[in-house]
Amino acid sequence: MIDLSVAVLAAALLAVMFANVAARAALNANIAWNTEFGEFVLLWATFLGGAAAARRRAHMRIAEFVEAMPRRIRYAVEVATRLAVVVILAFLVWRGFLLALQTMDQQMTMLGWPVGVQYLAMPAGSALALVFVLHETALVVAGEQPRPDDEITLQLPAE
Amino acid sequence: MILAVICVVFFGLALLGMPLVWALLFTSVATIWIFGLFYPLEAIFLAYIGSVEPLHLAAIPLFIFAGELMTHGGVGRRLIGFASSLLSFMPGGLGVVTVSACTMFGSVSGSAIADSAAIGSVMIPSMAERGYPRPFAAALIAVAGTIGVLMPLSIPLLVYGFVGNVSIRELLVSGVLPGFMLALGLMLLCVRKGRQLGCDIGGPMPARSEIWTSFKAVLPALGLPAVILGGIMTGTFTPTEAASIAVIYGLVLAVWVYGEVRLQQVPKLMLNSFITSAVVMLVVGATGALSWLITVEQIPAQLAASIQAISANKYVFLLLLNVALILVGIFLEPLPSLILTAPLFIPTGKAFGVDPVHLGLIMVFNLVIGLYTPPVGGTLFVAAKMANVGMVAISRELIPMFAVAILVLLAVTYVEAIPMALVWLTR
Repeated sequence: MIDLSVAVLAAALLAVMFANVAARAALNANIAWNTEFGEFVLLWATFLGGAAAARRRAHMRIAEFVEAMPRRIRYAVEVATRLAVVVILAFLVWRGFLLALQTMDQQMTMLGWPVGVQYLAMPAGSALALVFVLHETALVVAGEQPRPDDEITLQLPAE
Repeated sequence: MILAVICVVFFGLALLGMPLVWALLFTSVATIWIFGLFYPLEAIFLAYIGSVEPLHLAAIPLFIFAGELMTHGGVGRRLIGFASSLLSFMPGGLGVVTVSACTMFGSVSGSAIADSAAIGSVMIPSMAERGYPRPFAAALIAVAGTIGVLMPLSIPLLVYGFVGNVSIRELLVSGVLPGFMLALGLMLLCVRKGRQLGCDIGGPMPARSEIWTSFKAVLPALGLPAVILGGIMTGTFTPTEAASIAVIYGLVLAVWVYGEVRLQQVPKLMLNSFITSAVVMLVVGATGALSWLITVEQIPAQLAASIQAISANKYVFLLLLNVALILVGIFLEPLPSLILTAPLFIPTGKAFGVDPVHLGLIMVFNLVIGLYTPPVGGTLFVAAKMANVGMVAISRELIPMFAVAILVLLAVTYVEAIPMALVWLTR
């Protein structure tokens, strides 16, 4: 479901960007709502993509030191850092949601959509990520060691 | 003082294995709380959202996607074919072929890990078969794979440009000469190694028709950087629009021209690229939040002042920068460390009269060395895994290559004209 949304948004973003080049080449004009719509799509694709990455445990982290720790300390650290993530994500959902509510009556210049709908991407993506991290925390507490999805982590660009 | 707390909290969390995005946000909120600063927390969250919102950032997922398409599209094999028909007559020819194939591949994929994996998967076995020690082949791949990151279409340079608001066009141009210098240095090492081992002393020059056939095979792939760079340099399209063109180009190439990617695989590749890019962009966003705090607290100005108290000399600053970045690079991968340190170093560097373009190239070059600095590093891992050799064995072979990289780094840092000559010409 999340994967599908990300894929659709990604395709939309590509279409929007390419349409802009094509429009300028063919009609010598920029599409007026292009930037606003593109930013809207990019924002949602990024935060939902972040949630999808949380599910695959693909967020960039330094695991080498934790993995080198003695087992009991490692267990405590793994649980503690995940709880801290839960706290910050819950905070993001709560404050982000308030922020989106406050901006619901502002309108985007070209599209006329409420700005709040755009800002909702952050709390929505964070809420989904929160669910996945809670699940992961439960696994860690139960003594498992969740592994990242190699397919994604190997692809990190530029490194 | 605040900077010290930020560093301690952030590095503490990061080294304990907390994912960087959340460690950054946690640090921002915690710092405000610890110092009882009167900033509305909304400002932090708005900076977080606002830093991933600008449409030009769409270049990041799109270039990653284009690179994925090229990587899976069989470009690597054809580049190796071309390079070996052209260069395998030299002593150490296979090594020279590896380096040049990595350089070319980097300029179509923009990613060092993809580069090492694509070229290494073919070249490590064939170098081993010819009689090169496996650790040497692995070390060569680990280092040569990073050359591509200096060549145009480099994703780190792109990200630096966005984070620091520096001209992408000039950044891309500034990497070309340093990239070639590093490639040349590595090739000389290979020639020496080939002679020493006596297993690869070179052969006859291949027939011209053979070179022509292999050249025709890579021509469509090499067209991509040509179109993109040409378009950006002449101002026909923006880097972001160029990225969308690169995707279409890569799609046509991988699916229809080379026919190595099936159309049904494309959505999966796209999804993976966008998730990868979301990971990167959220770190960009979270750094945006932290650097908002760093900026309102005027930390860069204080940092510049305290370094200036030690010495007002530009070169002393650059030396400190080199040392600091190598240390950071040992622990962190280039992209996050670049995103983290750029907001701090760009204003500081300006105070010392360092051109932001030059600074960007120094930072990328510096941090990329961390990719093959033992004990951890992206290309080092990929190469070691593919060659199936241990870290100690690779490290021994790495020493001369490391020395070459450091020499080029010093030249690039202290002789401003090396990276900047082409930039000045086109400014």
